[in-house]
Amino acid sequence: MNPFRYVKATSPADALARMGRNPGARFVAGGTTLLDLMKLGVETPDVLIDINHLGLDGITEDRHGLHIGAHVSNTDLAEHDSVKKKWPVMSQAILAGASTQLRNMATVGGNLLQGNRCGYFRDVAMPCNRRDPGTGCGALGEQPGVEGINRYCAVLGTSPSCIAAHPSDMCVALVAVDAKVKISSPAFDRLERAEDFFRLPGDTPQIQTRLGPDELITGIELPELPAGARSMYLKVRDRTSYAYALTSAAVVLTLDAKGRIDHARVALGGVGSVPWRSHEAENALLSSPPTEEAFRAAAEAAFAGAVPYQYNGFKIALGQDTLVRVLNELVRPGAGERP
Amino acid sequence: MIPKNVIGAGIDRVDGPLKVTGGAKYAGDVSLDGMVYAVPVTSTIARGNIASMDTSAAVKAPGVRIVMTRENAPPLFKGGNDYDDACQSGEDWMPLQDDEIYYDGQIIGLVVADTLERAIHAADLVETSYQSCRPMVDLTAALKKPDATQPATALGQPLQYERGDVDKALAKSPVRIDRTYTTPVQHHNPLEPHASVAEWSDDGSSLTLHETSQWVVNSRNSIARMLGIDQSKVTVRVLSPFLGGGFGSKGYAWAFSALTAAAARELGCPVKLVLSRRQMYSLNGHRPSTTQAVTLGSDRRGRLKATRHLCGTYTSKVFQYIEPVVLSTQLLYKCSSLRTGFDLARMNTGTPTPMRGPGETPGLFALESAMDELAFATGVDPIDLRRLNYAERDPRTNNRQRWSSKHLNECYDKGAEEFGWKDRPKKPASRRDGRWLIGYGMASATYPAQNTSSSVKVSLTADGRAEIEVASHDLGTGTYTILCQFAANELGLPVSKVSCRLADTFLPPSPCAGGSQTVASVGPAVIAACKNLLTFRKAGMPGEETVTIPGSQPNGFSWQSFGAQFAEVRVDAALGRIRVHRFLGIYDVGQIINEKTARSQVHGGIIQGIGMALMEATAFDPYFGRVMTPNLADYHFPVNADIHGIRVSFIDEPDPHFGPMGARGLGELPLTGAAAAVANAVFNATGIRVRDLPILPDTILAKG
Ligand SMILES: Cc1cc2nc3c(=O)[nH]c(=O)nc-3n(C[C@H](O)[C@H](O)[C@H](O)COP(=O)(O)OP(=O)(O)OC[C@H]3O[C@@H](n4cnc5c(N)ncnc54)[C@H](O)[C@@H]3O)c2cc1C
Ligand code: SF4
Repeated sequence: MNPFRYVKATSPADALARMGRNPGARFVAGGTTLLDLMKLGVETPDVLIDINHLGLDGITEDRHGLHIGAHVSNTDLAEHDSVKKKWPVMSQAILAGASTQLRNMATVGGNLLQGNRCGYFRDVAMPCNRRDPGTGCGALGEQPGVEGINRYCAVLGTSPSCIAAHPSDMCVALVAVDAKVKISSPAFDRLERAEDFFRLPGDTPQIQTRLGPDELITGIELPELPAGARSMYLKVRDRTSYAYALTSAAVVLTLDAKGRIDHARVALGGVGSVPWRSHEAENALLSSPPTEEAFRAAAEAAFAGAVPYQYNGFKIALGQDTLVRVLNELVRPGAGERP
Repeated sequence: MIPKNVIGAGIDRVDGPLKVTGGAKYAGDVSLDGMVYAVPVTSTIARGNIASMDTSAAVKAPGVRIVMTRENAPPLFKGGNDYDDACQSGEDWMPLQDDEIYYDGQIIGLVVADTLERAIHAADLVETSYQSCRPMVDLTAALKKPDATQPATALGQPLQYERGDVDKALAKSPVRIDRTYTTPVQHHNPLEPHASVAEWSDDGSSLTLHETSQWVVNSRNSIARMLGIDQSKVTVRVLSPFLGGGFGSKGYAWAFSALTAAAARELGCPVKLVLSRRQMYSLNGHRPSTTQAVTLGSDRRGRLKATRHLCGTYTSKVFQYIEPVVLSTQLLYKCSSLRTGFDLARMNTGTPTPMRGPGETPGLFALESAMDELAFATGVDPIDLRRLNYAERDPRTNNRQRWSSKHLNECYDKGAEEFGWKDRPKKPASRRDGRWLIGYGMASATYPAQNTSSSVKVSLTADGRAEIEVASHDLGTGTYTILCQFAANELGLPVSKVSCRLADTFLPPSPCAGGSQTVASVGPAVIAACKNLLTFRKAGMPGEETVTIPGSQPNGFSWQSFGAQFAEVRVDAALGRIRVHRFLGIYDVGQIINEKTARSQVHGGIIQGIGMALMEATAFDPYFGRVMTPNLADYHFPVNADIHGIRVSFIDEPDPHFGPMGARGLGELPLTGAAAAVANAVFNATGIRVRDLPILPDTILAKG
């Protein structure tokens, strides 16, 4: 743990000004990710800029949808009446994450940037390209056949330099509802689609999002879902609560008058390097009747390009079954989703 | 009013208010004038040598008082390896005396600074370079290495054991089960981290240690020896009045305590050291992984003709710890031909140590799973199978020696009745509720009863208050309350008039709070002292009495506790999700002293058993040998949402041949067999037999 300075920003502009071009500065929101990484020596900022007092803690609704300040807590967002009613997938995803205490502290902005839970990333004694580019990937291992502890790693979107899975639950739902991320930079403000916000690791796993180092997330926007949409999030994990996803699926679906699927957005968690939008699954579902066969075909399409590693091959079958289960539950609610 | 039945009543913990108001001071809470903070520097490789350590930046960092490495550390000495003489260290070796790295997270330096944060920072500034070698962290491979041994005994019992002719009996058995079961590395993970606060008197004639210790007498003797202290010249006092759990990890003495005291001696001021959670995965023991080959031979009706149980496990490079896995197999069922074998490998891991139900816990997972497989193979109901092979007398004595008391059959009966065992799905994978498959499973539990010599002092005031003083311990188990109950009962006082002081080596000595022996060892001493005070009590006079009583002497009976445990699980097979819907445990532990603390002990054991079955495992990187799950987010044990419907019941029959109260102790028993009950229920629910713990979602998927 390094000594650091702490400053409190008073407005988004003030936060940006204090950040300036200082590569050693970090914004701190709930701190549930950042402080852990500092204790582990993974993050060693020399200045912490507190962004808890920027006035970004409101939720407003208009005919375009919901506008959520970056500092809204995960709990407040999950418990918001409109979210529960109109975007249940969001509420379910957030409540499936972490613990009550963490969700009370965690913010929307921080959740988008929680990055990574790979054990090698979090241990400065271990090789990790994402933390220290060029040191190797501990999860892939040093020797062929002797891979690292990669049971939690991704099977979609990985690269030879990094195979970590994106850990967030909320972000999977954000991709499924086609949310936008509001970004403020010194030059101008912009909106990014959640699904474009995250970057595949490629050769530069250290760059995880499209957010510039001197930029601030000010909020997210949830667009209205299509009329008649059903949505749901399901997470499979090693214990009933307080564990990261092995696999998860978030789906938004509508059926036309003939009972065929006429809108589907599918996002997968725990299996991708980023919150994983599956165009393949969506294409397979569109215009199909909502049958088990169609769901199975969509799930297979979603994982057609999957690459398993030594300890995580099960995620391909489990990921498919998770998606099929969500689809089934959406068209035949209560068919067994009882603990 | 004196409660009529003090013994057995579910009396609230006498230390409860202190704990919930924060008044209970744990070792890590102790703060002394002028105290400074120590932080260990630990190795990041698991095998090799230290090439160099650069401490220049650390020494210059603000607030740093000393940076100790092998270059400047005072000489420290191996602790004892003598359990019976209360001088038992966790390792047979001391850090900072040589260059060698034996395991990941080994102590290679100690930084002391005026604040904890500064000490942590300076510890990070120490630059170490190594010559590293590939560590051995693979049990199967390690068992084939020349340094693997076949130890003859553990706890005075034979590990390499044979009665009858196993090979012949197996050859003749029409039904055979021949399977290998494995259990993973587990860490105790008490909520309270290990801590030591050391303070020397100015003239160096006395040392006071505030320790997280399940055995203060041992801590005193072992740490004194590590420091090279002659106890006839220097007074060492160890205090550990409250513990936030230990589960065995605070029983043997560990090197970090001696380092704290050594630093305090060097600096001339009190030093506090609290291990981080990460360090608790290397420096205070764990349960080693096991691989167990179990072979059962029976006739077609399930009568056991032959049993073979061969266990491979490991210890570290710096201590011979033996997880006594096969011992319970020798006694649980009647079987005239039986062999156990035991192989001990050496690995580059931190040193294993006893963890709740050492031996029995992994051992019964294998044996009780195999019994379930035999039940299935023969078509005999699992409970009937166990009744059929019931050991009326101790099988280790050729079925001659009697048990001091044994009510295991009643446990089966009562359990079957309460659980509704007759509704058990007869065929695996035959019952479901929506997508959830339902299954019932059961297993036996067993753990030896023991007690050891203990002293105790009881003082009585004229106005009828009593105080008990003894260097025993309350790990959260209820010792404070139970000892007060004993005294209240003997002296005819309300419990509120009795107080108790524990875990201070200035008090009369008592044994390790391990092996489920505290009630059975200290209780009789309290009773004896109180009996001697009865005349004072009747005369309304003050008095005090110190007694020492021996442990139970062999009396021609075998002392053993038993139980039967039942689980109903629900399995969502497509997604590999498992929920333990309800769990029932029935235990035969002799007299229950406090129904409430007993129940709470058992709940904890069952929850730990569910964790063992479904999620607990420490992962080591296979190449670097580094612990990859060193925190409570990555090392999973049950959270509230995992636990439903635990019910507990006791066969509350005093044991007539064990101690004055007939109470055999129950701390470890409920964990033994619990994981097998869950795994057997998973089989009944799904038809999937899992022989490698834990049963994770991927396990179910791979086999389903
Ligand atoms: C034990 C544990 C278990 C968890 N389990 C889960 C789980 O199961 N599922 C899950 O989804 N999550 C889980 N989490 C992660 C949790 O959701 C995140 O830690 C949390 O959402 C981060 O939010 P925060 O506000 O605390 O972020 P902080 O820690 O304050 O910040 C995180 C990062 O985001 C940056 N940042 C924060 N806000 C902004 C902003 N407005 N603009 C620009 N940069 C910003 C910070 O500089 C920092 O780099 C878990 C966390 C822990 C510690
Ligand atoms: S998977 Fe990514 S985060 Fe994990 S060790 Fe490899 S590079 Fe680092």
